[in-house]
Amino acid sequence: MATEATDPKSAEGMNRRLRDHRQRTLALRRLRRHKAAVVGGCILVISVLSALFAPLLAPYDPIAMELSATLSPPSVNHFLGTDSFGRDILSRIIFGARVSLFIGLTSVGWAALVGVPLGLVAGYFGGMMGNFLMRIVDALLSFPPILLAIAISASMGGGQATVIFALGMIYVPVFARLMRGSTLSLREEVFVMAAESYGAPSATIILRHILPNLVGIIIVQATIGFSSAIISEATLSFLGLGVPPPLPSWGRDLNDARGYLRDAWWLVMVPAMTIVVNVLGINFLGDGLRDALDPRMRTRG
Amino acid sequence: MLSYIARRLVQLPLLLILASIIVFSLMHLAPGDPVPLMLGDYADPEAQAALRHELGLDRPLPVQYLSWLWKAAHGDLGLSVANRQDVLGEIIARLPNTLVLAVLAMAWAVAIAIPIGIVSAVKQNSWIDYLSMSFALGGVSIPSFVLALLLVFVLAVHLRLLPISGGPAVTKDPLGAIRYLILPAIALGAQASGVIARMLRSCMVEVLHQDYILTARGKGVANLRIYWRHALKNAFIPTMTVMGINFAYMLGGSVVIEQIFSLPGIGGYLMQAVLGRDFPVIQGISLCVALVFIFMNLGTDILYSYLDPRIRYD
Repeated sequence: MATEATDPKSAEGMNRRLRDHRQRTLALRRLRRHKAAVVGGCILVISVLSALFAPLLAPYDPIAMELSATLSPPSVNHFLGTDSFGRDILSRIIFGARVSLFIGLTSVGWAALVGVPLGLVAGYFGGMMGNFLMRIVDALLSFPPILLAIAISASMGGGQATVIFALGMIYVPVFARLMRGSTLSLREEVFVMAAESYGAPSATIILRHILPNLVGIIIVQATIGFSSAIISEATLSFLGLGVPPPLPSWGRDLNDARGYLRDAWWLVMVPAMTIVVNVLGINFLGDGLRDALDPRMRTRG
Repeated sequence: MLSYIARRLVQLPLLLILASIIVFSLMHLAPGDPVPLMLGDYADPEAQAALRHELGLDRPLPVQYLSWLWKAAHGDLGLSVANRQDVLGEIIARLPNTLVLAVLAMAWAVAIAIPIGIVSAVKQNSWIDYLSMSFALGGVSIPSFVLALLLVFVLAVHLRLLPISGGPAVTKDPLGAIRYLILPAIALGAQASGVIARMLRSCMVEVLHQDYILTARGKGVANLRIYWRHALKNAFIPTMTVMGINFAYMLGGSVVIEQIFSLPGIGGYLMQAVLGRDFPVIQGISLCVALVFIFMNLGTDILYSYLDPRIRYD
């Protein structure tokens, strides 16, 4: 029964695919018209490319120390200068993109993988179980996010996996609550009731009828989460709770720079601007995606 | 509205218990025995056994939790492993500094965000709207510790306008402390300021498109009066919720800011504890901040339901 509806040969399936295609094109067109989002997307693409091809792009080994050239200002040899150990800042920034983007993506990714099903189930089935799940979500949301991340990663002891787990714990409840709210309102829609009335199993209704309608807000929320995960990762690294040295990380490079505020401006400015530009870019993209994927929100932009 | 408040109050104990379970389990997140983590791997076995007994780690988990909760409910958060001081006493001594910092940060955030939000909503899609919203998005996008370092770099190190770090406790020397809190408050408030401005703008834009505003315009009500009496009052209600949440976030953000500026608040205290794996302190601070957060959320939600009776909660 349910397979018929998506059978590409049936008329309904054709219509549906056409409609989906049209919606996607419309959303893409809206996104392309959003100038800030295009700029943000370009920034993100540049960061992703430099993370992927870091070994090819970086002029130096990011952890190789050149003790004859410590704290040298930007020059032809070192475009963005060197730090107190004589390490090339540009190379550290390029390799640092790997850490920041990887942790940002994986933490939001696992948060979505856990939070989305939780919210869908809690919203669709409701009842005691759903309520209890939501109380756990409320409890997780009773801590300022960065405090929760600090407490978890400090308690578990550093390391990349810990940071990813700790940051993900911030966003699991966010995804769960968002999904539950949206599922609750979609449950009342006619197409869901129709599917229920012809006896489609709950799993089919959730996966075929509810989830596809929520893809837009999941993408938007993931983008917002991604930019805040990058901030949080930098904060944890800045506090010494992030990835262990000598892995280059934007946040820890900033912490290293604290001792040289008077003498070496590039040590502060380069990582600071890298973080700000990246977060700003992702936020631009997020605003654009929200406008493109959720037309109801456009007047509120 | 009353039934909503009643339901929230009924849910409160469960929420408090679940939050306390999260705080309690912090000590057990790392695999293995937390005692060597706190005392070091080569600590005297007797000292380890004593600490294990003090923290109740020699008993089954549920018993540990209940006795920890019972003590916490009676104001006993245990002793710091590092310096044997009473955790609650230390938190209470430091909390005013953090609260004053957060209040100052919120005050400047609101002072900037409200005019920006109103002007860009009223002049929607004008250059001033784009400028203010870029400014607001910049505020949202700059992490507080990055802004803090930039402020220190420009204002304190190069222009030497303000002190970089330290300062007295607000309870001892309130006026002297303020000077030391200016830069930290600016850094801590920037993000909230951006969030509030964006929220206020979008609420104002929505309200300004509604029929009763058109009616007011039709009646010939002056623009200023429409913005102030008709639009702002309604747009402000959701904005206030955002302010409440952000105030609570600032208590978390204070950890980084107090660390950078060496301020005597609970954030700096938490960092000391984190570096030494001082679990009673980590748990005590997390619990206290969660309590503040829970009651602030409850307060803003109740206020919200009072100010806007149309609101329906699921």
